[in-house]
Amino acid sequence: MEGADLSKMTAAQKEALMTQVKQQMMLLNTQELLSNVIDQCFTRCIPKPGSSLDNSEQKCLAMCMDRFMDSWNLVSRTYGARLSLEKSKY
Amino acid sequence: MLNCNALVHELNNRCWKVCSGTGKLSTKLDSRLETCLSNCVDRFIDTSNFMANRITSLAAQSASSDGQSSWD
Repeated sequence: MEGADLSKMTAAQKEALMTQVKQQMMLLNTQELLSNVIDQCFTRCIPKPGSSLDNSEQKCLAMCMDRFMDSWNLVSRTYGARLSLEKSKY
Repeated sequence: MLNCNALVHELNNRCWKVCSGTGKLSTKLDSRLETCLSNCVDRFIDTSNFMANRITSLAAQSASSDGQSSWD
């Protein structure tokens, strides 16, 4: 993607580039989310680290990840709605 | 757009901590938790705006006074 000259691209090439950019952003987003969910859910679910992850700990981690992602979706929607609201004031 | 995303992550991390605390996890977000998360986002933005406005006022006050900074 170094030196991409948009002015010399066809519509199809521009669209391919956009897809690539979106995929890279999704990957970055997933990496960020993963890092955060590991941090939050480890704190939440593994208060006393043992010699392995037992069943209840694994169940907690799975549920914690699901709820954390539900939370992310809700926060994202709320933030988006708020942005629209602020924009509509001007 | 990338910046937008970074803020959503920041908001989610804070609000998840604040709202879910150490309580029991369940198979979905209950309505109390949803309300808390939603309020948290709005109040955080309100706080950011409030602080930004206030610091602007303080700086203006400080500039119009005899040059003494209010946070020395």
